[in-house]
Amino acid sequence: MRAAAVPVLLCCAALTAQSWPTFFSAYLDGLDAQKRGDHGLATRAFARAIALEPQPGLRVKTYGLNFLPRYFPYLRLAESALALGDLAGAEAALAQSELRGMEPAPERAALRERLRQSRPASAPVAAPPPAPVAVPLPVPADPPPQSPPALPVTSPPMVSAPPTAAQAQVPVARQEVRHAAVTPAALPAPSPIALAPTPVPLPAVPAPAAAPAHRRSWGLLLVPAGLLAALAGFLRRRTRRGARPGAVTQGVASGLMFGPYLAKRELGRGGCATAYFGCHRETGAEVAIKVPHPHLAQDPEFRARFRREASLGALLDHPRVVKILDPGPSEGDPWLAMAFIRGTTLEAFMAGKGSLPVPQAVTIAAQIAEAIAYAHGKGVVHRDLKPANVMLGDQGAVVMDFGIARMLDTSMTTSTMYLGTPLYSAPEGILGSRVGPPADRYALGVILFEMLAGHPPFESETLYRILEAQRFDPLPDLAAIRPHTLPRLVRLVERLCAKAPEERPEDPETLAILEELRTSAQPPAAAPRG
Amino acid sequence: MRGAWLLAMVFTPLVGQALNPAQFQLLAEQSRTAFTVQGAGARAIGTGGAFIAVADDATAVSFNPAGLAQLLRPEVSLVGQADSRDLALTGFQGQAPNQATTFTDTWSKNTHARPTFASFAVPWKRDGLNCTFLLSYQRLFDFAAANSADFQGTASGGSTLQNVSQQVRQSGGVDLYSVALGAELSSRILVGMALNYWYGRSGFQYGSTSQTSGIGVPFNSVLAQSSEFRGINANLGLIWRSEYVNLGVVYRTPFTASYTFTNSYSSVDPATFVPTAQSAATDSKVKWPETLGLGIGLHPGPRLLVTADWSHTPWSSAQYSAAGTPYQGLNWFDYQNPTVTRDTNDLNAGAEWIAYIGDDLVIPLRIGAFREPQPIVDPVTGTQRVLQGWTTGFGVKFHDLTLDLAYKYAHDRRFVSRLDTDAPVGGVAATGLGQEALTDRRIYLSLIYQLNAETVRRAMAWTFIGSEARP
Repeated sequence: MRAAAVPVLLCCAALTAQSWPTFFSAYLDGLDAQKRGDHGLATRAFARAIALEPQPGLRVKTYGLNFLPRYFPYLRLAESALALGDLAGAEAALAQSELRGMEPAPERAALRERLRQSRPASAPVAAPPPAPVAVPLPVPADPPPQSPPALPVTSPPMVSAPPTAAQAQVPVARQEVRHAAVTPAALPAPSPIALAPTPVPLPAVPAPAAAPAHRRSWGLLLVPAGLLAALAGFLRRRTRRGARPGAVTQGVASGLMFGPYLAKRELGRGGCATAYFGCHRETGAEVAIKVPHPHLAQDPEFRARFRREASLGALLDHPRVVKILDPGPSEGDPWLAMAFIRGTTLEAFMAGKGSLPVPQAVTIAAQIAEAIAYAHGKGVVHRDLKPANVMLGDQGAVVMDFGIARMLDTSMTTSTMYLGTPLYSAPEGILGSRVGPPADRYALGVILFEMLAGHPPFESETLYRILEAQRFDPLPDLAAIRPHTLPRLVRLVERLCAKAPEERPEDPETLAILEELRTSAQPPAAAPRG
Repeated sequence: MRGAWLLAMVFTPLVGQALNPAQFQLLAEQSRTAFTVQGAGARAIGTGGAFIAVADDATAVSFNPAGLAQLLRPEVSLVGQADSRDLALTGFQGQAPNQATTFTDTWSKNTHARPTFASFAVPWKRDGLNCTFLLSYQRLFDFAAANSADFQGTASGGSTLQNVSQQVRQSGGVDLYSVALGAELSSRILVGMALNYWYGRSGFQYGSTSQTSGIGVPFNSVLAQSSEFRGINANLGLIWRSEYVNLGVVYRTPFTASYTFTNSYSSVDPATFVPTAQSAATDSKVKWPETLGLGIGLHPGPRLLVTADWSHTPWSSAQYSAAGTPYQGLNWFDYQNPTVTRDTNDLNAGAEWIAYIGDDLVIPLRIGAFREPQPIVDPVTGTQRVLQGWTTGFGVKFHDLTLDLAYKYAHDRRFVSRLDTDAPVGGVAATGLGQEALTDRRIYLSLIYQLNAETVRRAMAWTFIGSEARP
């Protein structure tokens, strides 16, 4: 018996890498750190507490007969984020606080006021979104109350900024850089606050270095450009609304009407469409409404294709696919309503993180693979699969914009010529040939590569060079970039990114491999409650 | 009290060179109730004594030291215990000729109260993982007791009538002084270890006066003994926890204790009026067996806890020895028939439900049941004492102070032998057989006070470092 105790203890000792096993321990540590003025530690502790116990409340039981009389992690997180100058983090935490509804409103209001007063001093963060010119609509972004996505693996849920203002800059900036074919750079957007420390991947994989520093330096140049673009966009929006009163929408006191849907606020604006957060007038169901810009909506070819693709997309009904609830009217200006997903895009999730833990990356990839396998089975090809079209919500990853994504891409013309998102484009798409399901698999491979390596496989300052690389350059050695990655996983990425479509694995095989990898790479689950 | 039986068991065979050991066995049995190696704490007792998988307050050291890792604030705890034991010996009949054949029924009642546990626990964090250091004192067995019994025996045929008056007085006990450490290894796994120093002292005095018909002078005898008991062992604990289930394992290592005792015996022969005195002092060893405990705790909801424990102690392996060899080939508990000493498997189960009142008041309600067989086997009938019963309790937690109260009811009824008359003098074995009914009621009161962590940190820094610098 004594002999048996030794290996047990040794095995236990190997698990010492995890910290803050209980939410209350993390929360109390966060409070202590706040008292000491160590807001960096406090934010990590509160984020960990939220990851383990997201629901705030009064008299939350901890251990034994002990309880926390007031468990308000979002407010505390917002406090520390404010102290650190992370306005976006504070805003996101306050949005969560409002969403959860258990934390005292007066305190939240006071923090909002502090946040508001802090904004002028942080112009880059609080800057209005860049102009929609040449910017693809990334996602039907979230409204301010935003839930941290709860990934099935022990991925660190994120609290990122709300879609307006600062948060929107992260994906927008990245997209803009890639489409504008300039040096990749990131605006000084607020870094999302990881709500949990990165779990230890199995096997332990040293994370590769984050993106090169020179990429970030270009972000400073984009700040004034973004401001100018935002101003231009604002003026153009005013002009269009003034020019076409009631053409597409019926103005109401509190918003715009699209069929039975009331648009409550704008979520984001891209080069081809505007996304609104809205709800059904009768049922109150929350939706995201996408409305092509008038200059496209007036194009008969575009309208026809939009309706056709939206109708096709509406046929898809799968947990991993954002459901198109209403393809819009058959006559008149087009719009569509889709299920509203709380969360953040995979693009925003990955922004600034470098790489993701292997189990998390595999899980997300498997969920994307589920979505495209299902859609392919229904005869629908996404054709523009990319991180900006993957939402991470409470149920994990869901893919949106099946069928319509490329139509809404700024680089896409109304003809069939391809000028889509180059970073995730299959070689056959670049060649102009008709793209099919293998193109989605290629994009999946690129996304998986990016999640593991921390960057897409082919990056360049010029669009042409990226397209050339997609066609001819061998895939960078993932095993070298991220040593100790499971060979089977590396092999899967290589096969998915094969230049020839026929060499890429079919959906069932891809899914099976990812599921197997997900099972084998599953880290120990975090302890929920003590 | 129960330790008196232990002491008697240990020293009786040695004394038995002159005195019949069986007589003391029975006396010892009468003066004790339970021999369960168990932790202290009203919260744990309220849930039937099932606490191995829970162990989330400072009394965890006595159940499962791994549970200490769950403590987040410094705690001071005190536990007190009050006993009330009723022992009834009824329906006894003599079993051999020339011995008393009938006895009057006797009842004895003993009450006692004492502190049984005190601890001071200090948790701290290491990379976000909790560790707790604890110092504790626990009275594991208490010998304090004062019993008296007056009974009348009638010899076969009624020709001889003997009135006997017995008095037993015991004092002392076996205490544990522990240093313990509990640590979180991960979100799932807690480990802990307690190093226990066992120290026991006892005083035992048996006085008997018997008046036999036809003899004008009563026979008086006095047996007095004192002893010391020392040993060191460790408790190793492990807890695996999840949102809904906790599993706990505790292993109490075996150890060999030194045992020193002295005894003296004096009597006055009623026929010759010649006083007799004997005395002896002996050093010996006692091999204390290991104990393995397994526990499970279920959390069907945030307010409800259901828990159960199983503990096994191989008492049959217990031995005492002198001069390095097992003493006369005898084991500890049943020196008359070593093969029948029973190992024990204790079962404990209980539940706790927590009510919140207002913003700061917590009222836990508890109920439990247990079955605790004892290694005691009657030398004549072979029956084993099995204590079983129920517990209940409640607590009040207000801010940093927690008060817990528990009531434990145990009962056993069995067919046993007893001394017929003033056996220590006569040197005769027990020959009367009858019913023994034992009812044991206990009340436990725990007080736990959670200290301000920063205050404790400063105090410790001042004490051990000499400044208030952060350690």
